[in-house]
Amino acid sequence: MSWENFLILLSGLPYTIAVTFGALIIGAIFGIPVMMLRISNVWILRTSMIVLIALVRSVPPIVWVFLIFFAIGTAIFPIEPLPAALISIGAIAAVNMAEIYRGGLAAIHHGQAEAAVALNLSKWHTFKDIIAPQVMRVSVPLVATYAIGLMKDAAVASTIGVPDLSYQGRYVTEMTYEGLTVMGFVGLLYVAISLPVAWFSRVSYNRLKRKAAV
Amino acid sequence: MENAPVSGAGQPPLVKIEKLRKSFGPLDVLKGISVEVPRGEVLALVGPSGSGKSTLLRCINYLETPQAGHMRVADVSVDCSGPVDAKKIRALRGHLGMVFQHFNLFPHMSVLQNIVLPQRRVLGRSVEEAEHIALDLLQKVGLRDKASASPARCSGGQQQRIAIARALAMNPDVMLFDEPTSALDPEVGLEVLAVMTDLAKSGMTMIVVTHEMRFAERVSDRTIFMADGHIVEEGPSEEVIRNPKSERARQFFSAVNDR
Repeated sequence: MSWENFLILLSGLPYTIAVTFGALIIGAIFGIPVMMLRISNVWILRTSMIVLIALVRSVPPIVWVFLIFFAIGTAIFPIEPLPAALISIGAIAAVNMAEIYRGGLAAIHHGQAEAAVALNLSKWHTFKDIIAPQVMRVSVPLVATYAIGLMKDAAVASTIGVPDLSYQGRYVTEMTYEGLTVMGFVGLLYVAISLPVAWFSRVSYNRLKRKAAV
Repeated sequence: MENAPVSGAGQPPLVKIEKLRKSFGPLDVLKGISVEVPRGEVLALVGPSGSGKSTLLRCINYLETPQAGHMRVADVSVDCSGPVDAKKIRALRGHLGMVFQHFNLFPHMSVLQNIVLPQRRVLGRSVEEAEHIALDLLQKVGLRDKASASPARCSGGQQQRIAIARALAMNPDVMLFDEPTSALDPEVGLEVLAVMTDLAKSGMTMIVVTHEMRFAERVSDRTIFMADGHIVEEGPSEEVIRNPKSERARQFFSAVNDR
């Protein structure tokens, strides 16, 4: 494989990172309201979130990406591949992040909220100062692990024309017929992004375990 | 403490609970409890598990919602038979400090932050003032050197003393203790009881749910023995614990005193 072709492959890297971390950030933010509605006392809000979460999770990412891109793109307004990918994969990330947060919330002893209530902290301060930081802390290792899964899901963005690693891999393969080498490099580049994230997940998990064990 | 202990003569009680009822589903936990606590009194609530003593304590600051009865703490009067305004509940809690069996310190903050944050958020104190008060209280419970430590780095006994300091920083009129030594080794429990004894001597009004009969006998002015959601016996601590009149209380105290 020529140097030029390798550079073409590399040019896909920023898109893969952008879709992955863009979707992760969208998910991290919108996951909060989704989780809050999911645990709401109001039956209709809770139920509609249960349905939404099940729906989003049970349809493959590639279908969502096509749905957003073609359905919105043709029926409502023209949409570029990158924003379409960010919206659809970000939505998938949001429901998954909501479930990660919900697990984190369940892991927090009810005594924390009770202590905050007994000290007369307002609901908002109890959430902001006591509950949310602890949920974030216990969620970090899971979020990092999820980010790796999300990166793999993000490859479907290539199917609607986001020029990411997978897209460039296929493009170079079609030009050179050197599928084995090219896709081997593509795989290695994915590994190169995953490894530091996996390492971070492990370190943060160990740190959490050490803190909880004392 | 500026409030000297008084026997309550001529003064309305600081805490007055009348015919308080609470049930969890079909289970009646409090079957019409009436208690008065004058300012400066240390009251021990004892009894077998399931007797309702912890529930009574938790109803006083509305961690549990009672279903009937009436309650007054200082100047806050609450009719418990209907829904109570959130503002009123907060006013009620403003008079009350609570210490839990499992300490419930906030693990993501330093010891100092645990005591400073509630003062800042609820009482609107400045950082300097809140830290000054926090360090002063840590000094009183003998843990000034732990100010910047994480709660996880403190022993159970130390955590409970920090929790006491955190509650005191909010200037409560009454301190509620829910089995404060039950999660601790007996030896470590003693250091917590020592802090509570100092607090009692300083004139703080205290309601203590406990299984520590020696503490109840020596430190509390009055003991209430509860069983099955009723007050079975009440009186001066030594009398109730040493010479209980009812059969139910005799059974209980002979069992715990034998240990």
